[in-house]
Amino acid sequence: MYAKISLLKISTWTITGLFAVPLLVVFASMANFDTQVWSHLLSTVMGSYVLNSLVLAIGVGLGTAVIGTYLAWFMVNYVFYGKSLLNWLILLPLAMPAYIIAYTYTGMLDFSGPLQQFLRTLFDAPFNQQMLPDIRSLEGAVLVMILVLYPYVYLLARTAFSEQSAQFTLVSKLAGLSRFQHMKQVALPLARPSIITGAALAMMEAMADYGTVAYFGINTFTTGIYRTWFGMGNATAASQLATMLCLVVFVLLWIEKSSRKHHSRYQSRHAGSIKAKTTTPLKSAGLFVLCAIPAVFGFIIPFIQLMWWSAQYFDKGVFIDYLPLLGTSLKLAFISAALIVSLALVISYCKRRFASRKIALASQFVGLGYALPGVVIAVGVVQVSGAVDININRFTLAFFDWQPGLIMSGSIAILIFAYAVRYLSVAMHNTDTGLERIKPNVDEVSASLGVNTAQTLQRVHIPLLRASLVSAFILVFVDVLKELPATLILRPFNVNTLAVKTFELASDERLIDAALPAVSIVIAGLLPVIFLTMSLEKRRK
Amino acid sequence: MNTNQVNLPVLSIQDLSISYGAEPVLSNINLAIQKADIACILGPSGSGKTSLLRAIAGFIEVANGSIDINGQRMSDSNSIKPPNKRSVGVVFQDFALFPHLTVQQNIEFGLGKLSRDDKQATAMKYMHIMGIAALAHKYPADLSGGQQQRVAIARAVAPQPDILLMDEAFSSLDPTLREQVARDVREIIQQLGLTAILVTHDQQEAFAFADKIAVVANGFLQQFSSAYDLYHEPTSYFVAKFIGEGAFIEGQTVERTKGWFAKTALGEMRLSGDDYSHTPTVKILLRPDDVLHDDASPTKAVIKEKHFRGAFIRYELSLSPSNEKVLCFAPSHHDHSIGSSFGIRAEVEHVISF
Repeated sequence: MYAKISLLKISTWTITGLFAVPLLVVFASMANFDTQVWSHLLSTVMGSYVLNSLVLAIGVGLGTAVIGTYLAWFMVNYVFYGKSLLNWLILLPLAMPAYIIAYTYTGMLDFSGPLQQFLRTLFDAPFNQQMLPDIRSLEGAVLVMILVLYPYVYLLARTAFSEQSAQFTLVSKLAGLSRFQHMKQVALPLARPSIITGAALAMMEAMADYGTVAYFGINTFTTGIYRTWFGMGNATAASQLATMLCLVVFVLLWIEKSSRKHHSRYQSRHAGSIKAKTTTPLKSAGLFVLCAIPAVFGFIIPFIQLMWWSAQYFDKGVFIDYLPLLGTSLKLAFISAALIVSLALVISYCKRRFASRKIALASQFVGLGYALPGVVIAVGVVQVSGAVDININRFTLAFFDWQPGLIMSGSIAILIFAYAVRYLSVAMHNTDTGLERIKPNVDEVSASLGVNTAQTLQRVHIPLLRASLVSAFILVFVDVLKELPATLILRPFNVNTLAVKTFELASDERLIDAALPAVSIVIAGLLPVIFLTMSLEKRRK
Repeated sequence: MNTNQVNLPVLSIQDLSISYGAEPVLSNINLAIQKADIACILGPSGSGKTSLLRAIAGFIEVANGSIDINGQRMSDSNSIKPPNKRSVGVVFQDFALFPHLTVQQNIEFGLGKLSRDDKQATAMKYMHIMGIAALAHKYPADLSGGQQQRVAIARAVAPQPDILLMDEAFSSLDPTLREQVARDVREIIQQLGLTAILVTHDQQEAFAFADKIAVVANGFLQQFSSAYDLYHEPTSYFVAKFIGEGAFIEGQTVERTKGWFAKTALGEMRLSGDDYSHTPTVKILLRPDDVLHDDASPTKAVIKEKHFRGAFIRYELSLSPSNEKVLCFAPSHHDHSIGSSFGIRAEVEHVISF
């Protein structure tokens, strides 16, 4: 038997408790409605927040579902030239944050950009003629987000299609169904839960986005939260907006969960692999082009443009700024990733050790952090740190007649805390599945040999978990490096990251100067994509 | 049966060879199955038995030879009719029920050309026959293994195929249920007057289900006959070893006035063939029930292993001086310990030798 109270349990409860506070603070704001502020919001901007956010989410959901599904269908069912290249290419947009692709396309397609000038020369149009629809619009935002978010659907749909028993194809053949009929009647309905899950994830990302919509000047919930807070100076109303955004996210989460629930129904027990069909050279070329298009627009073109700008135009001034910027970003991401992975390991290990429902539920609640937009977490964290600071100052004033000022607010620690709230579940997902792969009797063997819990973790689990820990670290590292809205709100004065600098330069229309920090983020973002592709390749073999 | 009709087999396979790439999987298969026959293709894993079934269904091409169904050419080295034009139904190993369709929708799946009402009526009819009418609106995930199998069979037979093919259709069921289910299914198939072929690696399943069994091994059809004949009249060394339990002992052939005999460690045995002048030694098959416990016998055998089976004990014995192994079922009151020996005698009515 294990001791009822252990250090492991205490630390797990402390971590989950601490992480739950900012989330609870945001939700608690609903208790306190300011009618004046709300009647103002409702009569002015609220309608456009709701409408724009909905259009954005639905557009992105539909677009990613269509693109991700057709890519997955062709990649699973056909053999064609260049397919192994596409295995890599299709996933690359995962490395491209939406706000970066957004400003890259703005630069390329702008009124005075190269493409419009070229078109004007081509058609001999006057210099003030608008040659292309404005990318800085709601439609534009939907489009750029589809381009970087379709891999969510693709990954899940591809697994769903390739896991379908090959015997289903035979049953359809016996019934005389064509390939297209089989897709319509069998393959698509079977893959539907996976497609919906992927689309729901993409919609959550779209709802959470701040950088793109802020740059395009579109009113959505996230920009609304930011403005209500910093423009109207009303933290409570900002929290209430955030809670409403959370409700939408919860609906999406619920959709995702419930479509996963029936997953077992849709899985085949005995999965003989589906045989891909060979194609004629002409068809092969057609399929290659069709499957390459999303990646070309979602990664290749913007990446080349960014590289071009970085190489051609950055001036010395920007470069001198760049190195400390890079240093700060890397340090911040490194410390956060190390801390977050350690905390995740403690919680996962505790879950394994005690198999307690309460601990599992608590860690699930904390895991919500990843589903919530960075802006919402920032709102929660700022309020918590503010309240703590106020109370510390009251306490010291009363007892020692002295005020230390702000301790928590505006510190690096609070920024890292916000990162941890947001990305703990990313790390935990890796540590959980890693620990699941280690047989439970390993723990029992270790205990029977007289080794205690902490030593077992150190001597047995951590060495066995190395791969999971590395991938957790890389994922969190890159997520922190890319993070924009929470960093923008919570960073201490004079602390700048690549993401914030990119956004600031782009917002100042210094698009070319923004290219170097932007391209750094993209290149770092390639790391987890490479890992993902390699592990998928291994699984397929 | 209509005696006026020419007795054309439903399925006729001639000189069939199947290969994957350059590698031959099956060679020179000849097989004829009559209407309403319930047959079985039995073989160890990797024997090519499933390839044979897939070739009959039209899922794979044949390298040589031909497959005819009701006298019509289905497959040969030049051409192949698609599966939906061959009038075959298939029950797959894991049933391959569509998880997103209800039981009824699954059964209607193969009834493409019928009207809505006819589809429903046909599905209803077969659900009643299979005893699953109450499950019509359930999904496969909510069914037990046995129920899923009934749905799979109903789906396969609803389009009224000429031949029902079943790929290891019982092997995913609980072993305690398997034989009973195989017998139940056999009864239904007989009622429907269907011609059925089961592919399996399990002898007990094959015995319980089929009238005639085709043993396939090492890429060849070894023997096609009843279960009784496979056991008592195996025509190849492989079948003798594969079907049932048994052991082989060596014998020297000698000609006596009454015919040819084999001199073995268990005495002389009458051989069934006419001429052994060119085979000085033969291997003789001894089933465990051919070897009797007999304290009076001068031939003693040493016990190497014993397994208590309730009514009897299965002894593995070693003969001296040849060290040949034989099996013996002795009534369980003849309890001897390993290492000791007892007297045995062979009583073989019909000697099988190779």
